[in-house]
Amino acid sequence: MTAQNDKQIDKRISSMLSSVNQDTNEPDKQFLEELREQSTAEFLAHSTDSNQPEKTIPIPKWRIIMKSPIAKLAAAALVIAAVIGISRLGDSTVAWAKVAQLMENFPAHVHKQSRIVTCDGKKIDHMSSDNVLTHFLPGVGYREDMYDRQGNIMMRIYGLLPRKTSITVIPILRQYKIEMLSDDQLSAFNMGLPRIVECIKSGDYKELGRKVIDGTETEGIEFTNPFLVIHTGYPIRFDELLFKIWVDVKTSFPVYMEVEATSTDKFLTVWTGGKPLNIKAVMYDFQWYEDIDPKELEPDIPDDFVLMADEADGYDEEKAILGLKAFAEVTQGFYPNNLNMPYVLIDGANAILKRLGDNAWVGEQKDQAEELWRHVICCKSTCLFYDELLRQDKDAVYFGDTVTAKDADAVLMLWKISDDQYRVVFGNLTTKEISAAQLAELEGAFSKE
Amino acid sequence: MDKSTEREIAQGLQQGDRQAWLRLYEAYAEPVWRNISRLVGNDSAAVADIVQETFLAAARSARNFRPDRGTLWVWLWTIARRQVALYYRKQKHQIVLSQARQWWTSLDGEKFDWMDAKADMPPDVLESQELVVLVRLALSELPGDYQTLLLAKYIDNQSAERIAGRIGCSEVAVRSKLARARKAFRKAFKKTSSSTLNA
Repeated sequence: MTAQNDKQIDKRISSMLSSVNQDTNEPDKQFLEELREQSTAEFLAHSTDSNQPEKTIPIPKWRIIMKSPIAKLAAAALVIAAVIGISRLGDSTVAWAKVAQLMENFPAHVHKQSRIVTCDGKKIDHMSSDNVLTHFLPGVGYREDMYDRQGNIMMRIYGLLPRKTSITVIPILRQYKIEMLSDDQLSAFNMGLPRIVECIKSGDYKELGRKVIDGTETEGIEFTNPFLVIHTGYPIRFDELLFKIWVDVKTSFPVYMEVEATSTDKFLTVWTGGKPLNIKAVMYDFQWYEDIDPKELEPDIPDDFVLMADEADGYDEEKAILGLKAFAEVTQGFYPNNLNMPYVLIDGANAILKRLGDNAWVGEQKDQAEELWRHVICCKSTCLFYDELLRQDKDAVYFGDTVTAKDADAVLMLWKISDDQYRVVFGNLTTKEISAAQLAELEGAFSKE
Repeated sequence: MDKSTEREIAQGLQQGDRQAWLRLYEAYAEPVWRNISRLVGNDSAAVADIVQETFLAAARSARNFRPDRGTLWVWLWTIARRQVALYYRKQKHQIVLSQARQWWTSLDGEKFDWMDAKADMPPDVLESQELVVLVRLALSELPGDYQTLLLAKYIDNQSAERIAGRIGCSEVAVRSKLARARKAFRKAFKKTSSSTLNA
């Protein structure tokens, strides 16, 4: 490609882009004046309280879920099942085998939860919440949204179960965290509901009789099973546990659950210096589905949120390059389009599906998919390293959207190490220190490719 | 916006200073509107909605603005770009996009040679509304810094120095990024226009 052609491309792109300037609206001055007042008020309202998080009301989200075709289908199935329940059960005593069967047939659910966690009689605020909304689709994932009393979102935890990954988004800090789940944690998540079903089927429970809860006539049972695992964002193991489940006598679907437990699970006691915790939780407003749209469980992380580093994470240059190498192994030579971790996860997940097919996470290739996913997660070091370069104002630039492993001599990433010197990572992941003039030469050569 | 003004506003935002917010708003409300309008078109209600969502979201998070993550413009445009992407995800736009893609497929000629400037693009193609739709879609899929660079360079005719100031990098990096942005735009346009075949 000649320099002449280069100019022509420049001209062509210029004329194409110019087209977007036609048919546009000049700024609406009156609207912008009104918005100035409105946004200023919003700014001041959020500046007076530094802890004011983004306000998200759970109910509209629920409406969005119901708009999805799969959820509608599932809701229809729920209604059909409920009608069957009415015709078969009438006013008779609840058949608990039927309850277990319904929970197996409609394992996906959404419910609200309120929990109080105490240690030595004192409430632990950051573990307690009056308002938690949980979406759970066994084998696929979960999403737990914690709200404060005003309906502000405090924290959102996503579990991508086949990918053994947990993502915690903390709007108040505008940060997010990504962790791999251990096999134990994973099995705990997947075993929560089946263990409840097992307990019901075993018949080893105490009947509690009937009671009206929120206007619904219910019948309950209670059982103790310290091995029961309830997913509370993280799978917590309990030392002692009393579990009560209340089902609608007309439909046989569970509508209310109560838990009283003590735990010395290290995940919790790390906050209490090893002291045991007491947990009281109620789960209510259950909606049971055969299936829910998995898209509801996909992480949504705003672009400007910052990835949090764990102590175990390293993000020096060497690890950053290893992260790129690992990612390119998954994608067979392509690097992440950009070094924003949520995008890396999406690109990585798509690459795995492309490589192993739609059944990558459930079929025989599951182990291989997991291994490839671990490679994708390695790129976290690269993202953290790049973030650090930006933080230190090192004039860092990354070109993963146009450079692949085949572009051996093309600049993939660069950052300033002194006034005239740059550190450069090439497409083949070799590194070099070069001057600004040499860099301009390299870039010129690349743009003519 | 020069560096010291940028610093003052950033500090003010972190302290909840009303004047800092107003300075930011006065400096960027119209440029944000213009760029959104270029990406969305003449649907003034949609442009107003996106501008409003952008500034309200910015107002809510301004106190947490971190200068080390980029300039005020980069931060603001990151929010705006997300709103534009949400707009394009809405179902009703798919019909218009699908029609534009069909139009592109039906054109005779070596279309990608036009993109690579190996052949002339007919004037009626260059002036067509369908091309505008496809260019907007391709642009909307680019990273925020590439959008800023391409719009600033090719529509606002800004100098490399001025662009460097807006996005907070050196002129060397601007030139380098521009070459990438052009390449990324061509790639995005080819992808969005040729996906007709799969549509």
